[in-house]
Amino acid sequence: MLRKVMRMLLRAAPACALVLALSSGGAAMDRSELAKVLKTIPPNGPFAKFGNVTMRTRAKQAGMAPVVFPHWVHRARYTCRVCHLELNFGMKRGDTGITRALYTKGRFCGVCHDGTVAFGVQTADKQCHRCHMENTKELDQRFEDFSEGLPLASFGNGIDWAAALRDGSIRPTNSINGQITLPFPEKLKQPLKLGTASPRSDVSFSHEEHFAELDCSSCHPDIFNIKVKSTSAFTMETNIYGNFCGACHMLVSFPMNDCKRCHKGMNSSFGT
Amino acid sequence: MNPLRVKGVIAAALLALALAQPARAEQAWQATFDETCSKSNQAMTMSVQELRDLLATCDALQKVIETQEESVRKVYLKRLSLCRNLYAYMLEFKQSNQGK
Repeated sequence: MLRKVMRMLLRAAPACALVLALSSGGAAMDRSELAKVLKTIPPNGPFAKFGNVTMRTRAKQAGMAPVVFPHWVHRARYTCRVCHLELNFGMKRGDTGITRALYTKGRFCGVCHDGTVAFGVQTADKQCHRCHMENTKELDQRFEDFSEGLPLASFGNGIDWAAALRDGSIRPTNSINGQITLPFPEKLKQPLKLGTASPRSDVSFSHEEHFAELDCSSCHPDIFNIKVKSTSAFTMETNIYGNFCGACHMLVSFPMNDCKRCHKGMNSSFGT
Repeated sequence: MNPLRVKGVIAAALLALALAQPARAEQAWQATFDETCSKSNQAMTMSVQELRDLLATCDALQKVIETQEESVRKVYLKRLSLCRNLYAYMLEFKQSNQGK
């Protein structure tokens, strides 16, 4: 209960602070421009539902309730690279072409959902309702229990996943075969400082935090092509519409409402 | 060895295996795929020749993956293109720096 109240306060505080910031002046970025950009950021929605992927098409064809895939359950146990690199799940809903025939043969979800590592997906396991859900009431309740005690964030799942990883609240393994050592390039250890129109909104980017979850080829060169001046189209708007950081940050990784996570010097975050 | 020849040899070996023994071949190309695409964090420190070899392997793998069933083809070709593009970029970067 206390945590719920704290979460509500946390969600309300940034919006109040933003209103204050905008009304008290002193913004380096043109105010109307900033307001326009902020307006395009979709609201966060309930913490329990952030990052959930609902898959309807194939389930409907089979006369089943849609599959609701909660990222939060999985990311506490495995880093992104396990599913998105080792198990080859695509990054876009419907991209992978998962079928019942494939997962019951031990592909995709079936790699872990074999009745031993995680609940099974065979008909005999009778666990269909764990993924095919009429509603997410039970899942949302599980989220409340799960999130208890994890570091707080104002947006996304309301969990600061990076802090949870740092302080050991979660210990996801980085390979399907257990923990493996992935040497991190020395050159990239220092966080990158990326300049913006105003020094107050400069971005601090940690390669190391991203490497803990993915590998270099997940972003380079397809999302960020590394070449100098190649990111001339890099704006908040293009990000919000799913380009660059927006490929992950908005859908599953913390959303861009949480301005201060990247723009460390900014006064506030936006929206709830 | 000439990179084109390396590429040809790898592709021929993987394809021959794929046609002769599908089950084993699947494991073989997947192992090659894992091995090849797991080196992206080392791309910055690789030599031009090492990058060329990796690209040759990627091209050979592409041919084999194109013969797989739809879902496998879709997901592995996407992943392969991600790591291939990184190696290609690093190669281009190193070659242009060598010229300076």
